[in-house]
Parts: sequence; structure tokens; C-alpha cells
Amino acid sequence: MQPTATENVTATERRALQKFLTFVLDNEHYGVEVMKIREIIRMQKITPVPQMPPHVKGVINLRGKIIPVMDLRLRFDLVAKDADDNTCIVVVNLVRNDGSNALTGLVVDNVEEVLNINTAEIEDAPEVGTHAAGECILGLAKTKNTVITLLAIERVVLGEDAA
Amino acid sequence: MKLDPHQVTALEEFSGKIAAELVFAEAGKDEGLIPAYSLLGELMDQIDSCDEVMKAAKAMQALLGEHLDQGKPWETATINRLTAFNCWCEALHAATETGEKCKPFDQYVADAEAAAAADAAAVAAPSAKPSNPRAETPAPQPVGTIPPELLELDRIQTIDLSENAELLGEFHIEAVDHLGQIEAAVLQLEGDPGNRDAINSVFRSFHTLKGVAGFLHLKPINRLAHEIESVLDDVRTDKLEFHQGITDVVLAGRDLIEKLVAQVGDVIHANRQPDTAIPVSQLIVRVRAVAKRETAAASPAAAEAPVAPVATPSAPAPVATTEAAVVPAPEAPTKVAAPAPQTGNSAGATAASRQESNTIRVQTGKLDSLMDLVGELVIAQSQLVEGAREAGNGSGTLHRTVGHLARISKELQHTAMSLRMIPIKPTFQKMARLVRDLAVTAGKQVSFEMHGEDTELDRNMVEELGDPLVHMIRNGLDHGLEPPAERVAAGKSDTGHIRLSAYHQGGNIVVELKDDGRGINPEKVFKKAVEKGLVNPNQRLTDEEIFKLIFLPGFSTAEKITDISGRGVGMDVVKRNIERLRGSVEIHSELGKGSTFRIMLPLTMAIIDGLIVRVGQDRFILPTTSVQVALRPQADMLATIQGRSEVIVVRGKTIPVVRLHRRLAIESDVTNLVDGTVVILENAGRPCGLFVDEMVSKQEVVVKSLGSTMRNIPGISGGAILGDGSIALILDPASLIKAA
Repeated sequence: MQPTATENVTATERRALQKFLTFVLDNEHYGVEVMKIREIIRMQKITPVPQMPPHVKGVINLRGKIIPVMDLRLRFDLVAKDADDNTCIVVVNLVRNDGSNALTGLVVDNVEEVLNINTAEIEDAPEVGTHAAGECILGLAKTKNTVITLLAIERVVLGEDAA
Repeated sequence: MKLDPHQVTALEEFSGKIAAELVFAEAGKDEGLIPAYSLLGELMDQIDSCDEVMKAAKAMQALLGEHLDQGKPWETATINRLTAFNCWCEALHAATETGEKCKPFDQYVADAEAAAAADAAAVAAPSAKPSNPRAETPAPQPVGTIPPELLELDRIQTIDLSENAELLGEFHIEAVDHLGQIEAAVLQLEGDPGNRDAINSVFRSFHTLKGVAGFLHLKPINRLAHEIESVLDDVRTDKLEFHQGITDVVLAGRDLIEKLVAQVGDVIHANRQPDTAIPVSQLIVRVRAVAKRETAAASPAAAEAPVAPVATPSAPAPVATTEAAVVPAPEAPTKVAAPAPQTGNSAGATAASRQESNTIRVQTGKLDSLMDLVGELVIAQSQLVEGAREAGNGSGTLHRTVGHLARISKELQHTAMSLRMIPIKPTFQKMARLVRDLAVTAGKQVSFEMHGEDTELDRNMVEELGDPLVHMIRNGLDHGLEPPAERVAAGKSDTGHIRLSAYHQGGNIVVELKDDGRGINPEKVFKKAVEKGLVNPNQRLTDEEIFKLIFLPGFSTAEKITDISGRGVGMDVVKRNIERLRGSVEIHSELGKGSTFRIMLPLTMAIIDGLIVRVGQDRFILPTTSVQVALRPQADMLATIQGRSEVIVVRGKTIPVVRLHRRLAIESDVTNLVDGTVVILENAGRPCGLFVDEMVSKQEVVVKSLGSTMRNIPGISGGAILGDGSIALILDPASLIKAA
């Protein structure tokens, strides 16, 4: 199968393409639709909020707004890791089922690049062999070197709340 | 056909009540359908010996029954029929008194329709006489039939956006304002019928609506406003005395126009053309009837006057409407006013109203982001101050400029905050209307008073307060206030009093709802709570604690479920809504004398005065309103109970101590109570000591939500951004103490 990520795409092809931001979590590659990303900020002090599940790290001040921050490593039951210079917070803006907006920060190891991925070539996730719970995966995309797990980010972030 | 005196009274009572229902009947709505149905049933019980009436009433009830069975709302034809039926009853009653014979119902309706048609034809004819001779005929004429030219108005509105889009938009905004003003002024008039300003204000509003609607070819609005305006003009020029019937039609007219205006709004905002017709003809006929009543009263119509005092003492209001509704309204020639002068007038009025309030409408989202940005500005500014200080005192200009900036940003912050504050008045006015409508439905007499309606509250709060107030007023009217007879028996005046007031008290705003009804019976409430399994029967509770039981979900003492309240939802919603606003409710009640509900609310949802405390690495904010005192405990003040529960004795009172670090499961620097600080909190009369590492400072903070994912964390109500840009969580004393 041909690699789906390419720089030179024609106008007709572009229609079937979707942009995904890729990032790394514990040497695995993940992707989130660019349309849903509000911004990417450096790691900053997170104020812990008690009585939240471990993957909810707390809240940060995003230009005067308080937004919750989730550690994606912990969300996917990967090994916890201390923040370093590459650690970033990806802020996503999601729309709930009730129409309200949910700005949420996602802590990731390292942000890579924006890829154009042909939607027709997204494969369904296999039943086994992934850390993330199956329902959080949109599908898998292949590039020259690697496989990228595309996340259904609403399910990752909002979970049961999206009901 | 003979009626005995008892039946005459029954007939009279019936027409009074049915007229009251008819005032609210509106095609497309089902309000009043059930009462009208059951009133007919009552009538049939009373007049079973009179076949004529029985036959007509049965047919009428069957027609209404059809509506009920099929879940159909009122239809114009049904309303007309019922109105005609009522007129016939009235005629029947009049005929019995004079000893005349009355036509059977079907005959009566047929004659009336023929007369009306002839009338309409006369009007349509170009040679229509300026004054209609029928106006003087004493014989009752039905209002049941509607002249065809009015039926024209009942079509679906066509709103052409292409031509006047901008004007329509302006009209919509203006109309909404005017409708609000009309409602307020009419309710004011009810309390003070002679109030010139109020009459003029209502008149002006309808006049403007009429003018602009005419210009924009919004026929139904134009005509309806015109009719109401004429009535009001008569009132204004003392040709007509102000009475309940006028209030009713004016309010009904206002509501109809509101619906029509809403359709205009749909076209403008959603580009959705109206798909339902809002019939106005029925109301226009009623308005004309009201207008006729007193203009004719100068002449022999005064003979009708004795009717009024005879009617049931409990319902003077419906009686007034009855008269208005049943006195015939022969079709009078109405001139279609030329649009040109009207537009001129209304333009003048519009300019005047614009000058009265120099306001603009702003989306609340914009206000919120302004608040966020101003908060950030203040933080950046304080960092700048810090930077300037570090740079040393080399540059005097820099220091001066930084100081200037500090003042400006502080001012800016205050102004931004004040943008969120609006008077509670509109909410109160809605309640006035609610009380009025409910009182009519429940057959109670209520006088409603408002105080402090100019008190300003955070706009979110004003909005959120509406629902709880509606519930409380419904409850008060339904359970609290007694029917007039019961009131008189209890030695009170037959009119119940409800008083809604708002005022500042300490750092709070208090909204108080007071009635002089039967009060809450603590024994009854307790018994009910035991029955429902909400409390243990052996529990000893104070009256105050018992009153609080009514806020429990599923609690309702109403013996019968009424339209108004009694489904066991309501008061728990009230409590929840108010707690969400960080407020509390208190109940005071004296059996037989009335109840007072006091809602205590913080000044604004946006800012609180906070005490900042530290536990380990984290800082927390306690609302100072719930902080009594903070102290370094001495060893002799402390004790443990059964080796576990820690208590502190402050001024002779033993108070439980909650360690915040344990409660929230976080790290703390201090574990020994004597090395830290105990903050004594009070919530709902129960004190509690909160153990923290130290007190940091006291400051005003802007309250922010943590987002919906973190909405219901016990003990935490929100977050705030501190001067250095970091976040501190705001603690919620109520839930902290509850868990203690």
C-alpha cells in the first residue's frame, strides 16, 4: 500500500484528505484532527484538583480562562513520565452533545507535525495490541516509517460526559 | 321555559365564570378548556329541569369534549360558539327577569349571525353612516360572530424581508421593549387605576407599535394595536373609566402582539417564514366590546349596573369582564387610518424612547471574554510593577507611568464588573404577571407588592433566579394563600397579600417573598415527611429544620394535585438552583399568619471576597462570608473524641475540626494542629473548624468555573486566578461541612 502522507496533492485528492496533528506518547505515534486543536502551549505549572481521576492533572490558566488538563499517558495507561523540555500541552476545543464547548489541555511527550491523511486509507483498529481503549480510536494511518493511531478525541476527553 | 330563582343565580354565576375563562381562551392554546368544560357540567347539574338550556349546554360540552379527547387546542369557531352560548345565557337570564320569552339557542345563533352579516355589509358599503344606529339598540347582540374584514387578519403573516430588512430588525427590537413597558405599566395601573403616566405610557407604546407596524405592512399587529389604542385613548381622555376588563384585553392583546412580533423575529434571525396564523379577530371583537361598554354607559345602559353587585363576592374581577364580554358589540365602522401621519407620530415617539435609555445590546459572551482579558491585564500590570521595582528607581517616568497604568486597569476592572450588573426589575415584573394570572386561575384574590426592584444583581443571577421564584410563587399562591371564604373565616381580609422585595444586607442580596396565608404547619410537614420515609419518626426536629424538609425531592403536602403546583417537584428545584448561585434559602412561618421565604444571594457570581489559605503546595480560597474567625489553636483548646474526631473549643463552644489535607487527600507541611491555623467556618448555623497550614492573604477574586468536567467536585466550587497568574481553587464550605 502507498504511503498516504504526501506533500504534493492535487485539488481533487485534497477533498478526501484530512489534516491531523501527530504527537508522541511513550514512543508511539498518535494523531488528532487539526480542526479540533485550538493551540499548542509549553508545559506550565498545573494546579492539581483533588478527587479527580489520576489522568486529570488539574487546571491551568489559559489567558484568563481556567481549563482542565489531562495527561494522555495516564489516560491510556502508559507509564507516567516527568515533564521535560519537549513536553507540550495541546489545547483542544470540543463541542459537547449539548452544544457547549469544552476547552481541554492534553499533556503529550512531543508534538511532531501536521499530516494530510487520505480518509479512504484509514484502517480500522485491530482488536488487540493497543494501549488505548478500543472505542477511543478512530483508526490507524500508515506513513513511510510508522503507524499512527488516530484518536476519536471526543471520546478520549469527554468519555461518558458526552452522553 | 321557566327558571326558578335558584337556577337564575346559577345561570348568572355560570356566565360570570365562563366569561372569565373566555378572556384567556385563545385559538391555538388550551388554557381554560378544561375549566370551561367542567363549568358546563356544573351548569347542567343545576339547570337539569330546563330542557332548552340542557340541550344547548350538552351540545356545547360535547364540542369542548371533542377538543379534550383529541388534544386539540381552542379553535376560533369553538371560542365563538362558546361566546355566543354565554351571550345566550345572559339573554336568557335577562328575559327571565323581564318575563319575556327567549329564542332557543340555535335560533339565537342563526339570528345573531344574520344580523352581524348585515352589519358587516353595512360597514363595507361606501355609504356607511358615521354613527351606527345599532349602538343604541338595547337588545343584546352576540359578540360570537366576527366581521369578515377582521377574519382577513387571521391569515398567516407575510413578512417581506427584502424590502425593509433593516427597518424590520429595528421594529423587532423596539417592539420587544414596548411590550415589556406595556406589561409593567398595565400592572401598575391595576394597583393604581388613576395613574396618568401609566395610561399614557401604555397608550404611547401601542401607538408606536401601530404606527411602525402599519408602515411595515404588518396588518394584524397594526390593527390590533389600533383597536387597543382607541380604548386607551378613551381612558386617557376620561371617556371611559379604567376597569379590569380593559386590563384583560390589553394584556391579551400584548401577548398576541408578542407572538406576532416573535414571528417577525424568526424571519429576521432564522429566515423562517411563519407557518401558523395567529388569529387576532377574536380579540379585536373583545376589545371593541370593552370599548363600547362605558361609552354607552352614559345612556340607559346604566340599567345593567345592578348586575354587578349581585354576583359572587369572591370574584369581582370576572364580573367586570363578564359585563364587558356580554354587552353587545355591534360592528362599528372602523376607519383604516392613513399610514402617513402615523409614521410621523411614531418617529417622534421612537426618538423620545431612544433618548430615555441610551443602551446597546451586547452578547454576553463578549462581556465574559472582556472580563477574562481585564483579569489578565491586571495580572500583567502587577508583573510590570514588580519589574519596574526591580529595575530600581533610576527612572521616575517609568514609575509614574506604571502607577498611572495601575489606576487605569483598576478602574477598567470595576467598569467591566459593573457591566454585568442589571436591576432585578424585569424578573419582578414577570412575577407580577404570574401572580395575576395564577390568582385568576385559582379563584383567589391577591394583591401583589414589589419593593426594591431597582436592586442590581449579576445578570447570570437575575436569569437563574426566575425559575425558583416562579416555583415559590406558585407554591405560595396554591398552598399558602387561602380562598377568600377561608380567609374571612380566619378573621383576615378576603384579599391575600404577596410581597416580593429585594434589598442588600451585609455582603448579600436578599430576595424575600412574604405572604399572609395559612402558614406552614410543622406537624403536618413532619407527618408527611415520615410517611414518605424522608425522616425517622423518632427524630426530634426544630420547626426550622422541619420547614427545610419541604426542599427534599419528592416532598409535597398538597392533598390534591392542581394545575398550579403539587407534583412534588418544585421546592427541591428551588433549593438546587439557589445553591448553584451560592445562595441559601431560609423559611420563617407562623401558622395562620403566613410564611416568609428569604433567598440570600452573594452580590455577584463573578467576584467574591476571599481568604487565601495554603496547604502544602496548594492555595485555596474561602469565601469570607462564611469565615467567622481564624486562629492559631492553643493546646488547651483542643480535644479528641473517641480518639478520632478532633474538636476545638472556641468561646465555650465545641466545634468539630476538619483537616483540609485529609479531606482533599493532599500533602501538607503541618500535621500538628497547634502549628497550623484553624479557620472557623459557619454554614446554615453549624460551625466547623478547617485546619490549614497557614493563612496567606485576603483579596477579591474573580470566580471562574472549572469547566463542566469538574463541575461537581464535593468541597470545591470553582477556581480563581491569583495576582501572579497561578490558580487557586475556591472551597465550598457547605459541602465541606456536610462531609464533616
